Amino acid sequence: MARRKDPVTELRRGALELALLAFLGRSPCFGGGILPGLAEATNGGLELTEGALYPALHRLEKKGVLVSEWRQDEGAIRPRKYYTLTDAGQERLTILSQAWRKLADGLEGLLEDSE
Amino acid sequence: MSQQMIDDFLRRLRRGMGGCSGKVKDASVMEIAADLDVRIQASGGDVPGVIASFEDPVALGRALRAVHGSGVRTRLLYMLPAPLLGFASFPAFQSVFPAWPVNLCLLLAIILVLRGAAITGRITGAIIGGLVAGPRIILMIATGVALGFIQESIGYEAWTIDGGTIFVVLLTSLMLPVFGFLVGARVSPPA
Repeated sequence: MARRKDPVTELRRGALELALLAFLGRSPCFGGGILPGLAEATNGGLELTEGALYPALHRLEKKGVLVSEWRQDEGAIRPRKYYTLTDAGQERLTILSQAWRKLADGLEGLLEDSE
Repeated sequence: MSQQMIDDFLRRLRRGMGGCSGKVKDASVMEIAADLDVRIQASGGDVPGVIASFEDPVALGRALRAVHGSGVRTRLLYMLPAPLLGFASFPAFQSVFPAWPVNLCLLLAIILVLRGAAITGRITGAIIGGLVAGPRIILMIATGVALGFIQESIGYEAWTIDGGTIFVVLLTSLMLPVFGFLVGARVSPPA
């Protein structure tokens, strides 16, 4: 039997790539920093689980949208894997953010009409 | 105790990534271990609390495996024995050697296909199934042609391949790639 997914989770999943690109477009970050950072930046609107975050980061890295490097931060026990946007990632962020704004404006109007 | 919990968590993560190349496993485990450290430090050393709030490591490992695909070694491990089991599970062997464990070989072939598909993904699963099915079908055609030749040339008709055997061999052979594909996890093709 097919597993039913929470519709809100599905909606978030659709926005995940854009959110990650936008967040990493500000400054490079590691997985453990992205989770709380993204939740804070979206006022709790995008609280991810590790099961969504790491596969998404690895997928984007494989696509060439992100690039990673190991950095030894001061006070850290082990080196951390920092992700940075590539030029292709920057380009993708521009395209997706324009599409998102257009979609969000359209949906906003539609939702206002239906309320 | 705390270190043991972390090690156990990372071991389970690695187990979930079973089938991925060692390099991918090492890098992913190192990345998540470093992020786990950050959370443990932030929580004031509450290892059980942090581990309990973290995603199930086996599920996380499987999700990562779906992104990276399986390693070459793992795929070869399942692909190489497949044709051998295909040959060994051909029913006509039992007519010549009554003690030949045809059904056991077929069972092993099915297990190989299902297990291989679950670990390496649906495309490789279908290929493993095809590698078992191919030799069985080729052997059946070759045996049919050889027996037909013997019948025509010397009139010896004691050995024949009946319709029932052909049906069983075709059915059991063709179902293997289909099962491999259906049972296979969604795993990305290897990079």
